[in-house]
Amino acid sequence: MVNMKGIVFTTDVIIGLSFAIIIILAFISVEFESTFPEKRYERLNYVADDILNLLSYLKVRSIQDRPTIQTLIQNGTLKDEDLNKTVLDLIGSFWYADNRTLAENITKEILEELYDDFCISLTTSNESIYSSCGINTQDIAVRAKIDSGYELGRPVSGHIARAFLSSIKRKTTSSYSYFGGYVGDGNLSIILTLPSFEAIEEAYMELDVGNNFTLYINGNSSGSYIKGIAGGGNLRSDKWTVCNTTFNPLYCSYFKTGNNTIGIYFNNITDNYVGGGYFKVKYNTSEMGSEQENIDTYIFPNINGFINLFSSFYIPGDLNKLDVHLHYKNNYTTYLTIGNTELYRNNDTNEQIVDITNTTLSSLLDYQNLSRKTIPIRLGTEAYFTAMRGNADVILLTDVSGSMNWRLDSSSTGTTRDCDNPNLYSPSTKRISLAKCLDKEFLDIILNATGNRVGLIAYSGKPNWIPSSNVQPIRSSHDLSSDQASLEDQIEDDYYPDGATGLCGAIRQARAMLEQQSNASRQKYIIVMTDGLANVQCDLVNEYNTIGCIPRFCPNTDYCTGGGCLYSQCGDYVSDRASEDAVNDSCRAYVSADAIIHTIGFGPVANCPLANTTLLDIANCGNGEYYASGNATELQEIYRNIAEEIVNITFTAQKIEVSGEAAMDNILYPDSFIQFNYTPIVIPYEYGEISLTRETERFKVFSGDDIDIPDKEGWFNVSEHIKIVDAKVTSYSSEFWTDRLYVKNSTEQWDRIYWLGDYGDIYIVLGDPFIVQLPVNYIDVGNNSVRIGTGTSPTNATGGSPDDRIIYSLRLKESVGYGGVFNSSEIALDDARQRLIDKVGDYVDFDLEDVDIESKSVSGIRWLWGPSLFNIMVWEK
Amino acid sequence: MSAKGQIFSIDFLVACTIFLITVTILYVYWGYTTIQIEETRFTNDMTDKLNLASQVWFKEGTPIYWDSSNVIELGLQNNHEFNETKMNNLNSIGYQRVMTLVGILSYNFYYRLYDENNSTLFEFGLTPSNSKNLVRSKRVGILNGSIAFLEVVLWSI
Repeated sequence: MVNMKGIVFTTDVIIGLSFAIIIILAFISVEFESTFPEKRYERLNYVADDILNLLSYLKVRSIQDRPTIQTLIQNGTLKDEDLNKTVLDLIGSFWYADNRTLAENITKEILEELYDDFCISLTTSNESIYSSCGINTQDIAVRAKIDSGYELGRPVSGHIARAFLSSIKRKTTSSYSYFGGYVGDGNLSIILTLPSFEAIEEAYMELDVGNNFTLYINGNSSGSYIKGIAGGGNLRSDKWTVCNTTFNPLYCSYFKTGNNTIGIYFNNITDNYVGGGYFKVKYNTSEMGSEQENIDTYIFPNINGFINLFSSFYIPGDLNKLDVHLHYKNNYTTYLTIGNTELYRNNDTNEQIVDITNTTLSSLLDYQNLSRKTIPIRLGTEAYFTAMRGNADVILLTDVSGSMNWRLDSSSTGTTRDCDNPNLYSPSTKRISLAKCLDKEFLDIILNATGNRVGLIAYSGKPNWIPSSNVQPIRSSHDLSSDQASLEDQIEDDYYPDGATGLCGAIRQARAMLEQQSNASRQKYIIVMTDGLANVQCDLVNEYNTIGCIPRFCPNTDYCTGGGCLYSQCGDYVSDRASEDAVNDSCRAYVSADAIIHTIGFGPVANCPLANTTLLDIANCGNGEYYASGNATELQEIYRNIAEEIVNITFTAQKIEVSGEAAMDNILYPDSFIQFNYTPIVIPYEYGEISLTRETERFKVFSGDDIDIPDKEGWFNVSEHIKIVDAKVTSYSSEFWTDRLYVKNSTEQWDRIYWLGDYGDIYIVLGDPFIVQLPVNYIDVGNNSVRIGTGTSPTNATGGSPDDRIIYSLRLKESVGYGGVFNSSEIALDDARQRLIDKVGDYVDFDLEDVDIESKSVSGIRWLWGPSLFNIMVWEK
Repeated sequence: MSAKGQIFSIDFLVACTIFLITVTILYVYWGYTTIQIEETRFTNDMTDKLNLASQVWFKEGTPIYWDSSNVIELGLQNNHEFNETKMNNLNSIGYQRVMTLVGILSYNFYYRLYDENNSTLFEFGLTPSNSKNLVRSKRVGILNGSIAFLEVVLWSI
C-alpha cells in the first residue's frame, strides 16, 4: 500500500508542474513590439515621398559633382541647358534613349547616399532602373509618379511648326495652246491667251511640223526653225525653246496680256502642216485662275492656203448645247464633220460667215454620244485638183480566156468597142472590150491617190487542149507601178481573148508579185475578175509554180498529178480541183502576202451557182467581198466602188496633194469656233485639297525610242494619297490619224477607250486628235499603262510616237504635324516645309514653287519623352 | 484521526506550492506586460508627434507665405523646397508657439538641417539632454537647389 501511494503522489506532482511550466512558457513567449507596424509603414512612406520629391524637383546642376554627371558634362553630352532639367527628367531621358547604364549610375549616385537603414528602388514601366538591395520583405512603400521630360540633346524650349498644303501657287504658271492632229495646209496661226502677267519666264514649243518655218509672235518675227533639227521626224516632235530670260529675251517681250497670235509661216510651198504639238508660255503672275465654267470653246486655227484641218475636242460633261461659227473664204468646196456626221458643205467661193445653231446641230448629232468623249472634227477642202496620198498595192487580174470574146449576155461573139463608144455598156459589147475599159477606169481611180500602185495580170490558159499538162495561165503581166500610161498601154496592147481559165495560177502569180514588190507597210489587194469557171489545175507541190494542167473529162482523173477531171457546167468546162486550187491559193495570198482578195463575176457567170460558190469562197478566204453582175453598168459600178473603197481606206496622209494650177488664197479666219455648253462632271473638292498638273516622261523613256506598231506604251503610277481628276494622252500622229488608245490598270486587262474606227473605216473624212482624253474612272491606284497609236484605217496601223506622254491633273491633301524644337520660328517653319515636301515628294513630283504652304509655329515647346510611370519603392534593410 | 490528518498531507503541500508559484509568475508577468504596453503606446505617440513635427517641413502651411504675425498652420516649404525665410520665422515665432502650432505640447523637439557633408545648415528647438524618451527621424529635402537632410528629434525628460 505504501508503495502504491508514493507512485500516485509522484505522478500528480509531475502533472501539476508540467501545467505550471507550460503556462509560464506561454507567457514568456509572447513578445511585445516597441512600435505598431503601421507606424513603421508610415515611416517608409515618408521616405518614399521624400525621395520621389527629391528626384522630381532637384536640378541636375545641383548634383554636377557626381562622377557620372561630371563625365557627361565633360564629353559634351550634357549641355548647360540640360543642367536645368530635373534629375528624374535626366534619368528618364537616358533610360528612354536606351542609355540605361547612365540612367542607373546617376540614380545610384544619388540614392545610395541618402539612407543607411532603408533599401530604395526606382522602376519605370515594370523595369528596374536601380535597386540598392534585394527585396526580402513584404512591407514595401511605393510611391508613383507619371512624368515626362526633355529629350536629351534637344532644346529645352523653342519653336515648333507644322505645315499643310493650302493652295496652288499662282506666282509661276504656264499657258498652253494646242494644235490639232493635223493643221494645214499653209501658213498657220493659233491663239494663246495670257492673263495679266509680271514677266515671261519662257516660251517653248513642241511641233511635229511638215517643213521649215518662221515663227511670228504677235506679228513679230521670232526666229526660223528647221524641221528635224530638234528631235523631230516621222511621228516625232521637234522641241524648241523660243525664248527665256537669257535666250532671245526680245522674243519673250512680244507677248502681251490677252490673246496672242502664234504664227507658223512656212518657207516652202509643200508640206505646210503641223501634225500635232503645242506652244507653252511660262510666266509670273499674281492673277488667280478662274473657276470651272460650264461653257467651253474650241477655237479653229487660222489657215492661209488650203483649209485642211484634222482635230478634236473634248466635252468634260454632259453636252447641253452646241453652236458652230465658221468664218472662211474658200475657192473650193468646204465641209465640216463632227464625229462621223457631216454638218456643213458649201461650195460658195465668197467670204462666208456661217452660224450653225444648236437647233440644227441637235437634230443632226446625238449629244449623249458626244459627251465625255474625244470627238474628232474635220474641216476640209474638196476640189478636183486635190489628191490624197495612198499606200495601196493592187494586183488587177483580168480573165482573157476565149469566152471573153463573147457578148456580155450570151455565148455569141460580141462587138469590139472602144471606151468612148456610147454603146460600150450595151450587152452586145465584147466582154474583153468592157473589161479593158473598166480596168482603165479602175486604174484611174486608184492612181489618183499619190503613192498607190497597180500591177496587172491577164490570165487564161494555153495551150487550151484537153488534156494538157503544161498550161501557162499568165498571158501578160505588169509589175506594180504608178505609171498609169504604161499600165493602160499594157491593157490596150496585150489583152485579147484566148485559152482556158487558169484562176489558181493567176492568183499565185499575184501573190508572188506582192511578196516580191510590196512590203509590210503597204496595203495589198488582189482583184480577181472572171467570166468563166476554173478549169486549169495547179501544182500541188510547188506553191509558186503557175504552170497548170487541164485534166481529162470525168470520170478520168489520172491525167493531172493529184487527180481532177473536167465536166460541163453553165456553158463552160469546170474542174472541181481547179476551183479548190483557186480557193487554196486565195487563202495563201491572204496569209502569206497579207492581201485582201475581192472577186468579180463578169457576165452570165453571175447566174451560175457553181461559179458563184467558187468566187465567194475565194473572196471569203481572202477576207474580201464577192461581186457579180451580167449588166455592164452594174459592173462599172462594182469596179468603181472597189477602187474608191481601196483609195479611201488606204489614204495615208492628211496632206493635200495639189496637181495643176490652184487658187491658194483660201483662209480660215481665227474667229471661227465651236462653243459647247455642258453640265460638268463635278469631282467635289475636299477641304484642304489642292490641284496640280503633271506630265509623265515621254514614252520613249518607258518603251524605247522606236516607233512601235501598232501602238506605243507608257505608264504612270498613282499614289493612294492623290486623286486623279483629269488625264489626257498626247499623240504625235504626223500626217496619220491617232486612232487608238488602250489603258491597263490593276485589272491587268487592256481596255480600248478610244477607237477612231467607231466613227467609220474611211479616216480621210474624220478628225484626228492630238490629245485623247483618258477617263479617270479607268485610272486606279498603282501602275496605269496606256498604249496609243496611229493609223490610216482600222486595219492599217502606222505606230505610236516615242514623244507621246500623259498629262494629268491631280488633287491632294497633305500636312505634317509638329516636328522638332528649334531656336527660331523661321527654322521651325523651314523644317515643317521640308518635311512636307519630303512626304509629298514620295508620291508626286513636287516643288515649293507649285503650292503655298501654310505653316504655324508655336514657341516655348519642350521636346518630351514619356509620359511614363516611375515608382519609388522603399523597404527596411 | 486518519481523515483529518490527510488535509495536511504532503500532496496538499506540493499542490499549494505549485499553485502559488504559478500565480506569482503570472502576477510578475502581468506587471511586465502592462509596462511594455504602456511604453509602446508612449513610443507610438511620440512617433506620431515626430511625424507631425517632420511633416511641417514638407508642406507650405497657411497662409502659403506666412510670417510670424499671420501664421495659422506651420509649413516650411514652397515650390517643393525648404524656404529659408520660413525657417528663420521659426525663431520669431518662438519655441513654445511652434510646439503649439505643430501640436507636440507634451514633448520637446529639435530640428537640424544639414548638408551632404553633415554640416549644419539650420537648427531649432531644444537639444536633447538627459532625455528619458527620445525618437528621431531623418528626412530628405531640397534647400536652395541642393540636397538637405533634416533631423527631427522628439524627446521628453
